[in-house]
Amino acid sequence: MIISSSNEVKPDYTIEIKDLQFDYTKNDQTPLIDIPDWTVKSGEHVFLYGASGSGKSTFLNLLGGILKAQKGTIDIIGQTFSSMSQSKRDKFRAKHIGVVFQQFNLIPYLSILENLSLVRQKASRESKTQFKERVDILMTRLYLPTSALHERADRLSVGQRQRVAIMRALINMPELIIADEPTSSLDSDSRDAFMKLLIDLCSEHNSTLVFVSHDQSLKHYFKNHLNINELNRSTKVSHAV
Amino acid sequence: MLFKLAWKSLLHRKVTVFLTVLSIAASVFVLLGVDSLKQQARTSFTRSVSGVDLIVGPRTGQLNLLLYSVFRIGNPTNNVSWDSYQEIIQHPTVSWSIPIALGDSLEGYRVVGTSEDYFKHFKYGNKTPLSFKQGQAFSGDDEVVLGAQVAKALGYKLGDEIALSHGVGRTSFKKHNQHLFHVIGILENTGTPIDQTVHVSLEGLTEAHHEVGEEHADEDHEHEEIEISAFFLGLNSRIAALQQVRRVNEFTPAPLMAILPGVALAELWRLIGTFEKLLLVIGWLILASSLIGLCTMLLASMQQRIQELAILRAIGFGPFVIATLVCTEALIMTGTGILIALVLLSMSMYAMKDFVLENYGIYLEVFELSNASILLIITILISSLLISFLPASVAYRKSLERGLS
Repeated sequence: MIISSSNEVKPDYTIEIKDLQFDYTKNDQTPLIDIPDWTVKSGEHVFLYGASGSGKSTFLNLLGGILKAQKGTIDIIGQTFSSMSQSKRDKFRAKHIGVVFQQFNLIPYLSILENLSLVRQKASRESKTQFKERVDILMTRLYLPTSALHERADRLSVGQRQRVAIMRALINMPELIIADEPTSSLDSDSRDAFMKLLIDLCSEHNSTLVFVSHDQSLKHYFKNHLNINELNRSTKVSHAV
Repeated sequence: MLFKLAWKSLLHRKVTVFLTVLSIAASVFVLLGVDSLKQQARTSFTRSVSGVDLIVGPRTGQLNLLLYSVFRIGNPTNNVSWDSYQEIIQHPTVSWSIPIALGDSLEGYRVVGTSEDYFKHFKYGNKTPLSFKQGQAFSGDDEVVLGAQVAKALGYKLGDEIALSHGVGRTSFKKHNQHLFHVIGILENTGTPIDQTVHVSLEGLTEAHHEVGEEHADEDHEHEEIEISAFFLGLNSRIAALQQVRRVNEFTPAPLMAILPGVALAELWRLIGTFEKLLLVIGWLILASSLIGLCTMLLASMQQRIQELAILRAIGFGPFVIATLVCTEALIMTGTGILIALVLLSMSMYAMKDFVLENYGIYLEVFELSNASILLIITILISSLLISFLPASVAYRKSLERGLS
C-alpha cells in the first residue's frame, strides 16, 4: 500500500523519541518537555492521557513537526525530524502524518471534495481517478452520502464534519495519525461511532494512531494507554491526575 | 491551487471584500480617468489644427482666440474688418489664408462663414486635408457644407434646404428663414470640431443677415461690409512666422494679434496641467486610503482565520505559503478593483462621448490603455503587494506560533 521502492525496509517503529528536550524560552534549565525515551511500534494505537497544562499541545506540535526539538531526536518512520529544515518538515507532515483536531478540521468555505483535494495536492502523486475512487469508498465507510462531497464544509453537522476529518487525515494514507481530543464536540452516541470508525480505519490503513485526550472514559478503546506525565519528566508541568 | 484557495476564501467574505474592491476601483477610476482624459484631450486638441502657421484675430487672450477659432469654444469678442484682413494677407510670405466668421448656428451646431480656401488648405491630424464623403465645396451664396456629425445627427442629405439662426443657442428666436441654404457637400469624419461645424460662404452668411434686417434688402453686398472673427495663415516658410507675428501686432489700422497654434496649445496644457495635477493628487490619496483599507481588512480577518491557518499547517502548508496566500488575496482584490475601474471607465467614456464632443470639442476615442496607464496599473499592483506584506507577515508569525491546536 505504501508507495516506496522495494529495497526500502518498512521501519519497525513509527515513533522513536530519544532524550527529547524542548522549551519555548531557550536555554531554560528545566525544559517544558523532557522525554528520555519513547517508542511506538508501527500499526500500534496509543491512548495518551493528558490534562490541560500537561504540555500536551507542545508535545503534539513536536510530534507533528511544527516545533523543532532543541535537544535529542524525534524519528518518524525512521526519519529524524530534528535534522530537517522547516519546509522539509512541512512536506514530510503532508505525506506521512494525518491530524484530527478537536473541532475545526476543514476549511469552512471549501466543499468536502475541495478540502480533500487540497490534502492530496500537497502530497500524493496518485491519479485523480484513483483518488476519487478512494474518496468514494471512504465516504461509504464513514456513512456519508456522496452528495455531501460537494457540500460546503460549514453546512455539515458537527458529527459529519468530524467523520470527514478522519477521512481528511487518512486520505494520503499516512503512517501516523495524531488525534487531539477529536470527540470533545460530539455527544456520547456519535462519540462511540466515531471512535470505532477511527480505530477501524486506522487498522485498515495500517496507520499508527496517537490519540490524545483528557477524557479517561475513552481509554477502553485502546490496548496501550499511558499518562503524558509518565512520558514527560519535566517538573515544569502540572502532575495532577 | 493557491489562487483558487485565495479566491474561495475571498468569496467567503463577500461583503467586506466587495467594499474593499469598490474603494480600490473608485481610486483607480479617478487615476486612470484623469490620465486618459489628459491624453485624449491633448491628442484631440493637437489634431484639430495642423499646418496652420498663424491664427490672427482681434486683440484678446491668445487662448481665447485659439479656443474660438479652432475649437469653437467661447465667442469672439470683436471682429476683424475685411480691409484689415486683405491688408495682412497681401504679403510675399503669406501663401494662403482662411477667413473664419462665427456667430450663427444650426440647431446648436456652430456655423462658420469661410471661403473655398478652407477646404483647400485646412488640415487636421497629421496634416490630413479635408475630404468629402458626399458632394463638394460650396461655390454659391446659398450652399452649405456640413460636418459629418451634423449631417448624421440632423439627418441632412445632399440637396436638403436649411435655415440658419442667429446666435449659438439650440433654440434661437431669430431665424434667417428667408434665406435658405441647400446642402452641397458633407465632409468625412475627422474626429475634430469640424465634424460639428456647418460651413457656408462669407457672402452667404452676410446675405442671410441682411435679409433679416429688411431695410437693407436691396443693398448690394460688397466685401467691405463683411467682418470676420479670425483668420488662419499659411506661410511660405516657418521662419517668417515670428516676423508676421510682429507685423500683425504692430498693425495700426486695427488692434489685431497673431498667435502660433503650438505656443497657444502649450499655454492651454499649462493651464489644464494644474487642474490635472490636483485631480491626480486626489486620486493617489483615495488609492492610499483604499490600500490601507485593504490592509486593515486583511489584518482583521487574520483573527478569524486562526483555525484556518492551523488546518493549512496541519496538511503541510508552510508558513511562507500561507503568507503568499494572503498576498495573493490582496492582489486578487486589487486586480478585480482595477478591472471594475477599467470597465466603468470605458463605459462612461463611451456614454460621455457625444456630450464632451459637443460641449468641449474634445473627441474621446474608444478607451484604450496607454503606456502611462499600464505603468499606473503596475504601480498600483506593486503597491498593494507591498502593503499586503504586513498582514502576510502576521499570518506567517501566527501560523508558526499557533501550531496544530
